[in-house]
Amino acid sequence: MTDAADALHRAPILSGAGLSIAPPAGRVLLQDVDLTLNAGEIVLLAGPSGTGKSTLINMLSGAIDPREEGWQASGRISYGDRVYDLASDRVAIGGVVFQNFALFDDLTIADNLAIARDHSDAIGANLKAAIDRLIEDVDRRQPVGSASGGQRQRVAIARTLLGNHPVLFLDEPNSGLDVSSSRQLAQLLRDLVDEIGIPVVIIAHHFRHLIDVADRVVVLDSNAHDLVELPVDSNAIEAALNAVEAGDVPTAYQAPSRPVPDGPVALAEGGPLPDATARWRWNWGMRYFFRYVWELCFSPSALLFVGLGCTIVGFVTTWFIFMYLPFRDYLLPVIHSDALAGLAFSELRVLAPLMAAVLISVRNSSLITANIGHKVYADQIKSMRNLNVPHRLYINTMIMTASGVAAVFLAAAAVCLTAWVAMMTWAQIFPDGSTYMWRDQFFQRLWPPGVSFLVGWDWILAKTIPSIVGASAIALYFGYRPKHDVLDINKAIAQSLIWGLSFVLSWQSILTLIEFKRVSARLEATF
Amino acid sequence: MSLRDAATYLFSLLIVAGFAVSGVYAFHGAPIGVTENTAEFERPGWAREIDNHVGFPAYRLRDDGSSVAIGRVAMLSPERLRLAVFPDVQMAPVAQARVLLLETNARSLLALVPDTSRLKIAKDMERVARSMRDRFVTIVRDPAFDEAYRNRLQEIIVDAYRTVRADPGLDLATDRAIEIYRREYAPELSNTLLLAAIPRLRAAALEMMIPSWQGMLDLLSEGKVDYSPLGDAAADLLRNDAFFDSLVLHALDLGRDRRFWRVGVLLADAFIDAVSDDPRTEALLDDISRDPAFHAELQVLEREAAAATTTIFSTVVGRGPDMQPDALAVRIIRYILLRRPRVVAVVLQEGEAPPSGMLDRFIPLTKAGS
Repeated sequence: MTDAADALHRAPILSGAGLSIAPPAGRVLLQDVDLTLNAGEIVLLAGPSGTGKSTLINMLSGAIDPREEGWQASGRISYGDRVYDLASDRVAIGGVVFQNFALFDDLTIADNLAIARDHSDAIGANLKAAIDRLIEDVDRRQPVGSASGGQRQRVAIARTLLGNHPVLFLDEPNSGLDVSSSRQLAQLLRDLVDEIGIPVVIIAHHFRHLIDVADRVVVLDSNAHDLVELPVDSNAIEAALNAVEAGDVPTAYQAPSRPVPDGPVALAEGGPLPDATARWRWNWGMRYFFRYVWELCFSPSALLFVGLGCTIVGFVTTWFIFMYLPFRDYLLPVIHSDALAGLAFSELRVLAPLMAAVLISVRNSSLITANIGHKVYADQIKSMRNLNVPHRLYINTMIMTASGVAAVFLAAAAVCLTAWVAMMTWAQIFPDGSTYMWRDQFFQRLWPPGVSFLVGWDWILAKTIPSIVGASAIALYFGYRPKHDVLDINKAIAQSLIWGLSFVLSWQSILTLIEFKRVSARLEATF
Repeated sequence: MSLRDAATYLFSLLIVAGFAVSGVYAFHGAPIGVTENTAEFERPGWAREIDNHVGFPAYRLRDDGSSVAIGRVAMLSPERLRLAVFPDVQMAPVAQARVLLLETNARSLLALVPDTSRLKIAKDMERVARSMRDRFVTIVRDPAFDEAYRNRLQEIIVDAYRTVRADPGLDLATDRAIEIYRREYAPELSNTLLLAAIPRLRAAALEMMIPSWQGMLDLLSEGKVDYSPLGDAAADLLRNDAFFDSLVLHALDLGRDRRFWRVGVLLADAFIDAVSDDPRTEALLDDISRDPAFHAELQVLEREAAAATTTIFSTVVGRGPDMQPDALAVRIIRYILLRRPRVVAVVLQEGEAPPSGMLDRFIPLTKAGS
């Protein structure tokens, strides 16, 4: 590399000035901090746990949107000729490789790469070749869970690079790796940076194995809420960290490795910047939609849930009405027709929708909360944000839409099956009776001749759609709440079940009471 | 797609298909392999006003008179109706059957009662009638009734009779019925009933005329007659079991004659309407029911009437050895209570003897186009 090329390679491309960050209801992490990143350099960001290193890169990568959830942020981020106000803009300058990789474990490796590629600008041939080399030994058709830890890390790096961000952040990349693997990783990153020329910021506790490839070292001083530039020296870093943990000012702070410029940093052209707004892709939208429709509506367990519930409703109500009627032999001929009409109403307009709504809400709530809770816990939601994948559209909207589809389909299925089970039960009780007579009398008020559709279908939908969709919304809410450990996911599942079921029962009760009032006002024998 | 995924999708597809098939069977019935057994008939004139888009049920009668629903009657137009037998009911083509369309009223209800049950009803009614007769005679012959209520009752009855006769239509119908009666039933009357009644009535007439000169004077000057001997004679006759049996048989003969049945029903309706519309009736019945002199008799009457009503009702509605309520009878009662003109169809297979001879009085429907 020539001197001119090297100068261009190491030219500043991103600067932050006056950066201040405070999490919702938390202490200040950064206060009026300046930061400059140069092209083609590896920066080690060190600091004690909980000081806000991950928060800083999440903020700069768009994984945290300061406009949401009560974050307080300020300062300016400059990239090329663009200037972002941290207080009001979502800044998606950096691509993040999360500590747990945050690969989408419901997709294959190829799909993980594809979803990143499809939601970013086209990458250059140089970057593409580097990515291919990075994962050339990985079978892309396999599920994420089948890959080894090292493969998953490289896939995560490759996926992040496909996001085409001007900066690459790695959060604790050598956590859990042995010394040899750490050194291999360090060399891999060095080669990658030299090849593609973007700055890489690495958050690392175990910095000793990475120090050899670092160009700069910065320590986050949690006492002064400041970033401290240090020489690339393990002992200096160690001393600075000890000082921070002891509550002192790091000594290296007084001896920066390079002079701090007085005026604004003149930035080199950093290349095109990805659009910070998430992008909708039709094929991915449909893919998520069909996946959730399958899981929430058409998977065998959902269908069997409703099927078994409705079998119980259809059988028990019919059997008990006709077999355990007081003075059965005398009353049955008298009330038979009205009993069937009443059964039809209670089974098809009340019990079948209720059973379907309760069973599906319980099942789907637990699935949704577990699914979203896991995505939150595994940083997959942050990763989607970072990759400009519109998770609200692909996940929230599609879950709600799929829930609506499930409500309509499963309510119809519940009505059909309940009616059939009721008919077969009746035929068992009255073997000499015609099922067509049953049909005449059972549907005499719900579907009399000349009426085009089941009377009260609007009530059925009014009860089931809001019940099931509402329970899904509740499940989403609890799923998206912050998750710090697996217990939080379990707790969220329990909460979504309790609140979701309470909502379903309340909604169904209220609507059924209104329905009864309306129906009884015009109850009349039509047969 | 893995084999497991394919199996899962297939399993779901089968369950969805199961839902769809269950819906078709529940809401529509078997979609294939169904043979239609329908026929169109002309609507009788009396049923042309009846309209109901839902249709009416059709029944077959078992040997014991109990019914089983076998199909549905749909009113196609004022002139036509279609009888469709349920596809899962095995029977000969309905076009070859005798189909009766019954209006849902008391007459149809009684016509459906098997002959054996009707005999039982007749015996029950006779027993009740005897009891009521005894109570009635006891009350009427009581001096307390004579003193307080006889004149009031006579006035009500006479006025009701005048009201009935004042209706030209009823008057004409009555005259015709009387003419028929004179021609066809009077000989029987004179041979049986009058033969037994005339000696006693003659004695009563003499009692009316002879007792005093004052009575004769009243008759000549003011038209007043003491009818009490005639009432006593009637009471004596009613108490005579031989005479009463003859009277019941005579009444039953008349009842079987459709001409008298119609006139009788018209007259009875008009007479009962006139009596019940008379405000004096309620006051009279109220006074009698409160009168301690008749308390014991009325109590017995009430008890026996209630028991008889229950027995007769269960006989009218019940079928089979356990007299369980019959679906068709119950349906007719229900239609009567709904007070709407409705019909039911009874399908009699060729060569099938109906359990009730009264059904022969109904004219079978005529096949459309025949």
